[in-house]
Amino acid sequence: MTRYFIYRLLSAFPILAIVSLASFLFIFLVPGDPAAELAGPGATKDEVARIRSQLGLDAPIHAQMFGYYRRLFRGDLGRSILLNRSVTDAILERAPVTLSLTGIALGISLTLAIILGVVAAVRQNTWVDQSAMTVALLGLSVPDFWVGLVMIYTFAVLLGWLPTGGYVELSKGIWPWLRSMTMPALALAITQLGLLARMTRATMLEVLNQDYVRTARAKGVPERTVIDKHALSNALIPMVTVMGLIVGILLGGAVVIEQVFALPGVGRLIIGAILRRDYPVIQGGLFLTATIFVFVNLAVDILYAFLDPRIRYER
Amino acid sequence: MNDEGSSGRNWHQQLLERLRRSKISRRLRYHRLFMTGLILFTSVLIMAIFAALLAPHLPNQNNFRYRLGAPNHIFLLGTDGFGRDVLSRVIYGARVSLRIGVMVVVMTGVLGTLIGAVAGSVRVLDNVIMRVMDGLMAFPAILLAIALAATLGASETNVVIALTIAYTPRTARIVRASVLVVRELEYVQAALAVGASYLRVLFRHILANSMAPLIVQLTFIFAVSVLAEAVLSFIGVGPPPPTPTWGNIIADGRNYIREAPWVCLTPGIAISVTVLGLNLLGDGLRDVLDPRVKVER
Repeated sequence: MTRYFIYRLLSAFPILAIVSLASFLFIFLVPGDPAAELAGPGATKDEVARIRSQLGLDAPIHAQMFGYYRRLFRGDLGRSILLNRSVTDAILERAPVTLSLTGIALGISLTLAIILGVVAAVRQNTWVDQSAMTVALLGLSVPDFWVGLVMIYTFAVLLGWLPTGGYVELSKGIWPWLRSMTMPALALAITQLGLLARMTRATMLEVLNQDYVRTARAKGVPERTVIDKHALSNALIPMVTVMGLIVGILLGGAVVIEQVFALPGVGRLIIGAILRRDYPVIQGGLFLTATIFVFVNLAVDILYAFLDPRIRYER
Repeated sequence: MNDEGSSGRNWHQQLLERLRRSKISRRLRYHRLFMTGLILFTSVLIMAIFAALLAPHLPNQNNFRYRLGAPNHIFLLGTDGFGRDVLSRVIYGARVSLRIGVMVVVMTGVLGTLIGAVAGSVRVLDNVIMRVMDGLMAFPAILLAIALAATLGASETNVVIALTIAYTPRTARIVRASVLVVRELEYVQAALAVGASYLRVLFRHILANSMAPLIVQLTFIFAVSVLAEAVLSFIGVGPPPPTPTWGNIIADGRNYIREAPWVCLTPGIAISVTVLGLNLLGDGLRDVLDPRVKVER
C-alpha cells in the first residue's frame, strides 16, 4: 500500500507541472498586446504601460516564469488588476458559495442516481428499467443552464415559491440558505444524475450475476437483504472511480449555473475575469480548478486501492 | 499457384468483411434506440440544410411593431425583443450548432488519431505526450473552452479551436489505448515480419482496426460539442450576434423571461433533441461496434 501510495503521489507531479505551465503560458495566447486589451480602447499610453508592468509583461520571459513559479510555491496566484487585490483572497472569499452549490448538487445526484440505477438493475428490461434509463438519458441530453432558466420561470416567476437567484449566507439561517440553493443545485445535479444512474445500473447488473449473490439467494437470504447488503455495497466500490470525473464536470458546470442564478461564487468570478480580460484571475482560476481536480483524482485512486486490494498489486 | 493462393485469400477476406459489415448494419437497423436517435438527428440535419426553405421569416428581420409577441398564426413560436421570429431563428440556429459540431468532430478525430498514433507507436514520446494530455484534461473542459474562446476572440472559428483543444486529449487517449492493443495482435506482427513498413502497417492495419472505439467516442463528442457551443454562446463568447445560435437566443430571451418565456423555451428543446439523438446514436454504435468502451465525457 505504501509503495502504491508513493507511486501515485509522484505521478501527480508531472501533471501539476503541465497544469501550472499551461496556466502561465495562457496569457501568450492573447492576440496582440494583453496590457492594451485589458486597459480597453480609451486608455492612454501611460495606463497601458502601468498595466503591462503590473502584469509583469515588461520583464523578459524567463524572468516572468521564474517570478511566476516563485510566487506559486508561496501559494500566491498573483494580483487581480480590476479588483486590485490578491487572486487567492478573491477566490477564497467566494469559495463557500461554490462549495455549497457543488456539495448539494453532488448529494442530490448521488442519492437519486443510486435509487434510479438500483431500481433499473433489479427490474432489468421492464418498464421500470426503461423509464429510469430514459430519465438518465434525458439528464445527459438537456443543457443544464437552460433547465435552470425553465426552473426560474416555473418556480420563481409563475409560482413565486423560490427566489430567482442570488445567494443567502448560511449564517443568515439554514432555511433561507437552502431556498437560495435549491434550484441551482438541482439544475447542476442533472448531468451527473444521468451519468451516475447509468453507471450504477451497469455495475449493479454485473454484481447481481456474481456467484456470491446466487449463493446468498440460494441459502434463503431475503431478496431485500441480498440487494442492499450483498449487491449494492459491492456495486458502490467501482463508483468511487467516477467521482474524480464527476468533480471535474461539477466544477465546470458550476461556472455556468452560478452565472444563471447570479451566485457570487468562484465560477462567476472567473467568468467576469474572462469577459473583462483580468488575466491574473483567469490564470489563477484555471490553475486552481485544475489542481483541485488532480488532487481529487489522487484521493480517489488511493481510496479505491484501499477499498479494492487488487489494484495495489497490479503495477 | 502462389497467385491463386493470394487471390483466394483475398476473396475469402472480402467475403468475411462483407459479412461483418452487413451484420453491423443489420444489427443497427434492429437497434430501436439507435434508429430513434437516427430519426431525431436526421430531422435536425434536414432543418439545418433546408433552413432557407423551412423558416417562415428571415432570421434577422426586425418587426418592432411585434416586439415580444406571444405565439400566434404569423409567428408560430412568438417573437423576441427585436420582433424577430423565434421559430426562424431556431431553425437557422441549427446550422451553426451542427457546423461547429461537425468541425469539432473532424478536428478532434484527426488530431486525436495523429497524437494517439504517435504516442502508441513511439515509446520515448508516449510518456511526455500523455502527461501533456492529462494536464489538459485536468482543466474542466467547459471552463477551458470558455477561457480559450474569450481570449482568442468571439467567433465561430475560435469556438471550434477552443472545443478542439478541450476535447482532443479524450480522443487521443482512446486511439492510443487501441493502438497499444492492436499492435500486439498476430496479423500486425505478421505484416511487419513480411517486411511491410511500420507506417504502412500503422495506417492500413493498426489504425484501421482502432476506429470502432473512436467512432463511438466522436459521436459523444459531437453531442458534448453541441451542449458546449450553447454554453459558450450563452455566456457571450460564441459566434457574435446577430447570427442566431441556440445559446445566444436563450441568453437574449433570459432578459425577457417574465414577459416572453417562449424565447428561451424553444432553443433549449432544439438543443435537447439534437443531443438526445446523438447520445442514442452513440449508445447504439457502442452496443454494436464495441461493447467494452466506457462513456467518457
